[in-house]
Amino acid sequence: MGAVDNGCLLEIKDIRKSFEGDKGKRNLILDDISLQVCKGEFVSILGASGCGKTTLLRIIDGLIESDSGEVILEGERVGPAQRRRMAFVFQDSNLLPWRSVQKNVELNLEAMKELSKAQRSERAIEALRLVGLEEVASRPPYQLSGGMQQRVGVARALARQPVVFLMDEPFGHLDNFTRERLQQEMSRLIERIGATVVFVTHDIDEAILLSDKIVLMRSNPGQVSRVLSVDLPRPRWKYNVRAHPTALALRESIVEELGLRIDDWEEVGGIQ
Amino acid sequence: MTVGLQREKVGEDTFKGTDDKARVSGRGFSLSSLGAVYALIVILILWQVIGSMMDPIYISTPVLVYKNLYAMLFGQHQIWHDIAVSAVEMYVGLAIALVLGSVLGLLIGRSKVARSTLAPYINFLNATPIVITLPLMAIWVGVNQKARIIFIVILALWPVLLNVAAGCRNVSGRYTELGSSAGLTRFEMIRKIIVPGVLPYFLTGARISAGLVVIGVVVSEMEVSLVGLGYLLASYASGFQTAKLLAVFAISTSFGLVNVGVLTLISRKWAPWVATEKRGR
Repeated sequence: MGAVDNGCLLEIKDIRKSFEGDKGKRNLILDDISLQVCKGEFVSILGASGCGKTTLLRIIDGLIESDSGEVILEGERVGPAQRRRMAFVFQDSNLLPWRSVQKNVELNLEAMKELSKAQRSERAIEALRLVGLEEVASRPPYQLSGGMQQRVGVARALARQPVVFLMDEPFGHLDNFTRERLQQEMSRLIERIGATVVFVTHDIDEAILLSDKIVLMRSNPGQVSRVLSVDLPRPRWKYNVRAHPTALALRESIVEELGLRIDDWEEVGGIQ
Repeated sequence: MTVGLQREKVGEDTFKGTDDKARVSGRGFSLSSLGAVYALIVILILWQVIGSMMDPIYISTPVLVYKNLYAMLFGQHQIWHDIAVSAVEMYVGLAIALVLGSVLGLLIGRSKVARSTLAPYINFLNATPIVITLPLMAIWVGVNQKARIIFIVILALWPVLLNVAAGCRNVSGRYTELGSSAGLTRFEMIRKIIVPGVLPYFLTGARISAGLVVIGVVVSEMEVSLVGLGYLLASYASGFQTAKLLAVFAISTSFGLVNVGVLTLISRKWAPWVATEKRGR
């Protein structure tokens, strides 16, 4: 693989994107976003809904085009060949109901013409094994629970053996219990395979649990407001991390930075 | 980690984003419950009793209707020729409606230009009582089978067209983004994502159309024909031959039931997830 001088795997440079708004007015969604992701790094993009974090992720995967700026993977501008080395995990697991679980995973391999049919199926089963679902490989996805479906979505990305995973709030639609379990599983899995991940979320604790680096985003227009590194030992456990002094301090500064603190209780009619 | 193998019910959130309301729903017909069978027996007995007490011109009786039906199918007044004429018109019309409806539906669902160009006319035609085109059809094409088939097509086109268009809109975004991220080519996208994604919508539309073609064939033959089930209905009606009228009515209705039933079975076989999706809601 063509390693880059500064050791960065994925580089996002001055991404700018606006959408058509009401009466032909253009709304600036992303304003000169730049960030770097190194090999084996787990980077969370954290921000409120509507700050453009999902848009940024889709630009990285080439699902939509930016107005200006560039995305560089392994030293090359992202084109079809680079896109094949990234894998997207959708917020809604987005499984095709007419395909079995295994065939859903294989969909992500079908553009890779160098793989034979047997190799595709082998890789799909391997990926399903990683998320603990090889037993349901032949079942249709609509028979699975929401949490299992989301795990299939993760397996679909794993099967690709990408150099970068792009995850768009993959646990956002799940109930609390399932979410906690999947976060923990994800943390284990990432540590095991040493994956490079760009992870979009609006959950502060999730970001702290999983990340090496947290990119805080401001809204209107979306801008990087601060990049924080998470110096917590691995392996991490959800409940240890939550009470860890470093995590608490980090949480504090994130709340501060994103302006989530409410200082004046009277103003919002809170506790007197 | 162990994985439970029990079949879990699909939760509400699982299919978020499925624009199910866009799918115009047609209901299958089934006499599955025993209650319905009992009700039918009671109705037939009441009909027989009340019908025998008055002039057969009014409601006739089930026995008389059965006798006439038997004569039409196997006895002295066989009407197989009329049945065949109607069946040909109906199924040729249905086939054309399904193909034309799918093509136009795909065009409107996939292309913004086609949608903005055609939508006003489609809405206009969809809102028009289509029966009024029959006399026009007779003037333009003549009193013949061609006129009737064109009428049937115009009548049965809409459910397929509107459902396929709605299906396209639902599939785009939700699934096409997935295919795009997987790196599928344009052709693969159509074959692997769009066609199977739109299929259940097509089947829903086709089921409604399969019912509509029966109406189409009967109405058009009543107006512009000298053969067929619709023509027989009209002539028995004007001759006050109520038992015969009801016998032909029964034959026409059977066509509708068979059409809708077959398409319901096909839907269950080809798109089983749709039933599951509904149950989960």
